[in-house]
Amino acid sequence: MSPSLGYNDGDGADNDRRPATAGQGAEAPVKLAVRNVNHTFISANGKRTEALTQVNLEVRDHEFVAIVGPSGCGKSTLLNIVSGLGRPTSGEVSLDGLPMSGISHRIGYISQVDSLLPWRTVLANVELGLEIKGVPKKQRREIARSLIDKTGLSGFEDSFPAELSGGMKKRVGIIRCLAMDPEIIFMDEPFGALDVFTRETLQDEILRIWQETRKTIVFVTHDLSEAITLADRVVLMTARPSTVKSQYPIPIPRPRSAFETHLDPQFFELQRLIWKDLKSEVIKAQGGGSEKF
Amino acid sequence: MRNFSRGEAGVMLLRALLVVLLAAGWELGVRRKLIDPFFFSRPSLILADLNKILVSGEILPHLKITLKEAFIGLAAGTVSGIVVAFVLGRLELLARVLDPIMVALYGIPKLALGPLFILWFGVGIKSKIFMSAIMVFFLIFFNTYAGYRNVDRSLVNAVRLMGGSGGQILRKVILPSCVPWILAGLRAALGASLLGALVGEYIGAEAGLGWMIQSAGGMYDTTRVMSCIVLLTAIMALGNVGLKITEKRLLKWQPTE
Ligand SMILES: Nc1ncnc2c1ncn2[C@@H]1O[C@H](COP(=O)(O)OP(=O)(O)OP(=O)(O)O)[C@@H](O)[C@H]1O
Ligand SMILES: [Mg+2]
Repeated sequence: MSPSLGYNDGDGADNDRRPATAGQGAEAPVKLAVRNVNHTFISANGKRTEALTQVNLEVRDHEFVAIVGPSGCGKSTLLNIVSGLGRPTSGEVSLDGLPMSGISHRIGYISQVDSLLPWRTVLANVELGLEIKGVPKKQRREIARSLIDKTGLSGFEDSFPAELSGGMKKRVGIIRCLAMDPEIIFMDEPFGALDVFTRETLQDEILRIWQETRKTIVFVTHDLSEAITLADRVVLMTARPSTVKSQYPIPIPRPRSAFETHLDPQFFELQRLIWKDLKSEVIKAQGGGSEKF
Repeated sequence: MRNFSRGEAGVMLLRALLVVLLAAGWELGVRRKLIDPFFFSRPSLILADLNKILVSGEILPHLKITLKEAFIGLAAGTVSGIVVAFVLGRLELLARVLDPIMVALYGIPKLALGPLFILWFGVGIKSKIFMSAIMVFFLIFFNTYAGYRNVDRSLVNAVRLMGGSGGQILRKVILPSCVPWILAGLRAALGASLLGALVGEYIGAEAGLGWMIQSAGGMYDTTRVMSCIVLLTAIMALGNVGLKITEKRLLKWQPTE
């Protein structure tokens, strides 16, 4: 059964170039490449934490990739490295074939923790990136307003983040990133703390955004069904020291919706298959300490 | 801005009532010979004296000088406190070197420095400004520095990821997140700035409210001393109201509950 789903084993270095029917971006050029990335944290008291080991990953143009792995395995660490925020202990990251050095305006990053500026209104938060870029006030206001309207946040332009619900804050974070019009978007467990309904609405929103913009998206989650619902390809990471364990193309046709996808017979099959693979890692991670999944 | 709720108006009324009652008790105590007016004066005399010095304008030059000293001291101390806090926040090594030195300097009773300041800057307004500024400086510095240390890294990273430069991070993230800390420092610094000016005047001056209190005290003129104290209290109350309004404007983004 695995071969029919294009199941691949190994470190993902040069396999899995042809996801079965996912279609979108299957043959597109490689946008982002992670090669032999290792990362070890050394804390102030000298404690070494080997987070990533020999991570290899390729993301194609317009592709939607979801990364799943046990808590504490190094998913955020990986995103920090590919976004240019941190440097790996060793290894290389390249963007459009060119090695990355530092932060790039072509990348948008929605981090795991809320990072809206609390003293700015919704409107001013959405404008932030454009303001930094030096876009004239009138123009950036226009862009921000149209994004706010599109996401159903109109009426909250002048509210401060503290006055918003968790789901609304996430929406603002997403459109703040979209306002900068990046080529690649990284999202780190953006919907982790939300209730199921809000979560599904936001998943639909992400699906719509992808459908409309075809941006390359790398989405970290520890919710397997969320990964399958959204992505063209699910990348599984092992427990720490983490590496890519296996990758699964998700051939569920697009355009998708969260609700419809959950009823697709392939969905259950994929979930069963990937979960079997993931389970051993989760057990390993839990055995290793107090980390939860 | 939030309008006064009925509860708040009630509290204000009770407060005014309490002050009036205390003053009445004081006045009554003096008239019944329970309180010696030589040491404590009495409210009616103080009011009459206040009226006199304000109407004749006798107090105004002194008031002006003290306010000027305190205000310039407050401004200079605040600006330098913020600047030094930001520089040390940025240069960690320097901060670690200076940390115990700053704490030691802060520990010096500023009154002890008074004669030095007079020696350096003379008996004029400059020595008082310096005294006031130095007291304000430490309060603002320690608060702002704590604020700098407390800046949310994820906000800094978010702006960095958007391509923000060092200056943009300073202006758009660090400064606004230090504002609540700076305001907390200002609350204490307001009193300190006035205290600095008065202390400077006690040590050696030719004018100012502190000088007036000093010379009235020397002549056992308790009423005049009390008048000046009432004036100082009024100034502080006004300053605090101004600060409250500023706080409400600048911190309206903070959740109220
Ligand atoms: N600054 C740091 N210093 C030391 N160790 C760190 C640091 N940041 C992360 N780690 C460690 O590296 C490992 C990977 O952390 P990371 O945050 O990348 O995990 P994650 O997969 O994103 O987890 P989660 O799903 O819970 O968000 C963890 O064991 C963590 O303790
Ligand atoms: Mg994480």
